[in-house]
Amino acid sequence: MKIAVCIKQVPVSGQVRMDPVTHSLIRNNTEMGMNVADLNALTEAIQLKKQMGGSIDVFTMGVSDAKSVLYTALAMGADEGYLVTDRHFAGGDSLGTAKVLVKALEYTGKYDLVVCGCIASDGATGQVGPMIAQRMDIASVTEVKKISNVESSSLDVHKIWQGKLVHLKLRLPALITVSLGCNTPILPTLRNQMKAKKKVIHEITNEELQIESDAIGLSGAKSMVTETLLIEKTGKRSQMLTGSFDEIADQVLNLIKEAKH
Amino acid sequence: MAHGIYIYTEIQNRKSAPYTAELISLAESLQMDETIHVFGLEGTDIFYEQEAAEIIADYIRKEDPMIILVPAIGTAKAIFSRVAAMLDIGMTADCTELYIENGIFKQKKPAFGNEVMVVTEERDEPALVTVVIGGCNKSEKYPTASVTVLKPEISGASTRFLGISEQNTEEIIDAETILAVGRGVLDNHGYQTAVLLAKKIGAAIGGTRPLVDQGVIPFEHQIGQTGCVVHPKCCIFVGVSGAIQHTEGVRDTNVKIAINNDPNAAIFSFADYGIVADGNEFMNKLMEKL
Repeated sequence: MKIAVCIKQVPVSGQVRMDPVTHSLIRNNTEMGMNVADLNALTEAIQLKKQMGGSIDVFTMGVSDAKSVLYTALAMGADEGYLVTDRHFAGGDSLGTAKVLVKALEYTGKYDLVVCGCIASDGATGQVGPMIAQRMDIASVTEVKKISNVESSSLDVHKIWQGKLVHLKLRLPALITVSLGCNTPILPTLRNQMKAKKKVIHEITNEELQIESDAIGLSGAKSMVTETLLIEKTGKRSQMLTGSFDEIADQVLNLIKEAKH
Repeated sequence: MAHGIYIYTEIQNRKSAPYTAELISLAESLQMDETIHVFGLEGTDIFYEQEAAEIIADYIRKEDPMIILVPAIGTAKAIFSRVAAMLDIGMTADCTELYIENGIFKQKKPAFGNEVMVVTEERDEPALVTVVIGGCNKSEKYPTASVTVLKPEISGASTRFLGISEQNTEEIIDAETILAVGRGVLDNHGYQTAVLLAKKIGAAIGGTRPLVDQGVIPFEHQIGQTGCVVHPKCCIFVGVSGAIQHTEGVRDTNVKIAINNDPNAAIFSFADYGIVADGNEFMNKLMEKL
């Protein structure tokens, strides 16, 4: 089974800052790492490869620094890493990103399955995955929690919907997005990290992809951020309850009771 | 010339989803001189993302709407991401406020963690936006609004629906008291305690996204930017860090009580009352008293 996994480099902590003029992320001095749902996506792909054989190509779009998440992916068990990078790609919205990734996926070969994380912790739209599927004209199932009955031309997927578990069969080629936390991500060993560092990361630029630049990047973005409003920091602090555990518990139960009236 | 505000809904057991009334209210609040239409998919058709997107894109091409409002829920977002890609239009995610300024349709949404709200607008028509549900009043027009039901062509589709396993869930949108749990009580034992405690104090269980993704709590009980917005009289947060994606959904609560073992947790700049303690231990203490 030939699998492609699309991953994203994101700030590790939730505390990111935004440039009030350009409305873009300030990336200086921010610790970056692989988006958590993408760790789950890659882990799911590696389990599929163990069952079915085949290969895993990992793609990320971003600046040169984003190579580090590709090295992580290689250390976890991916076969090849592709950095999709060009100044024309920068500043795009979710559809612009999907267009570029689809061209990159088509450039490197045909895949039976494309796997993405269901949501990025920074942009948090969850749109890029299904947009890729549409541009590739393949089926998609989002927010997959479990995969079963894997065969060379199909697999079963299970997703949570309104508290129920939905069971679907999916004929390949197809794209799935994987739920955050659906598995325990593989932790690369030190040895595998060293091995990964020696591998070559392939770079794909617009020289190879030849996408008209007004369809992608900032100039192709169709939804615009026109204003950034700082959320007023009230400086509010909770009134901290003190006393013994017993006393605090009584206070809390009273507060709950009072609130109901 | 594009015209009309179009609202997407999902119909289950012949009833359109409860958020339909809210989206109608939002559309009415824009006070535009435009007709409001409701359209949607029925039953398990919502799981056929590719085929559903095709029939919706056809419908949109034919109707030529000015604005399309979509609930920010997983199934709808997946289908409309495909619709946007097919029609080559933008899609603005997880809006919490819609308004018209100088004749231009604009949206507000929280972005980039705790820092900012951003205002967005779309370059083309239709303006396609997903809206966080549970945040506004329900329209009285709702029961009579007629829905155009679209039927995707699913024979020969790559996706096949095989079944659904039922679980009982309760609603939290109308709950008076909510016990909101976060990553801090993620282990199974902690969650069991929370369920028992909630029963004792007559609260519904709500939670943050990680708990929903792990399948610990059902999606309907997710509070915040990608879940629902609630208006309880009292909310008790246990092991909730206080990220804005979550707190946006409970802002309108009379009494907010937070229990967290980290004295610097953001939730302590949000709650009215705070207790620095281990969430599980404190819940056990409360149980002893009840």
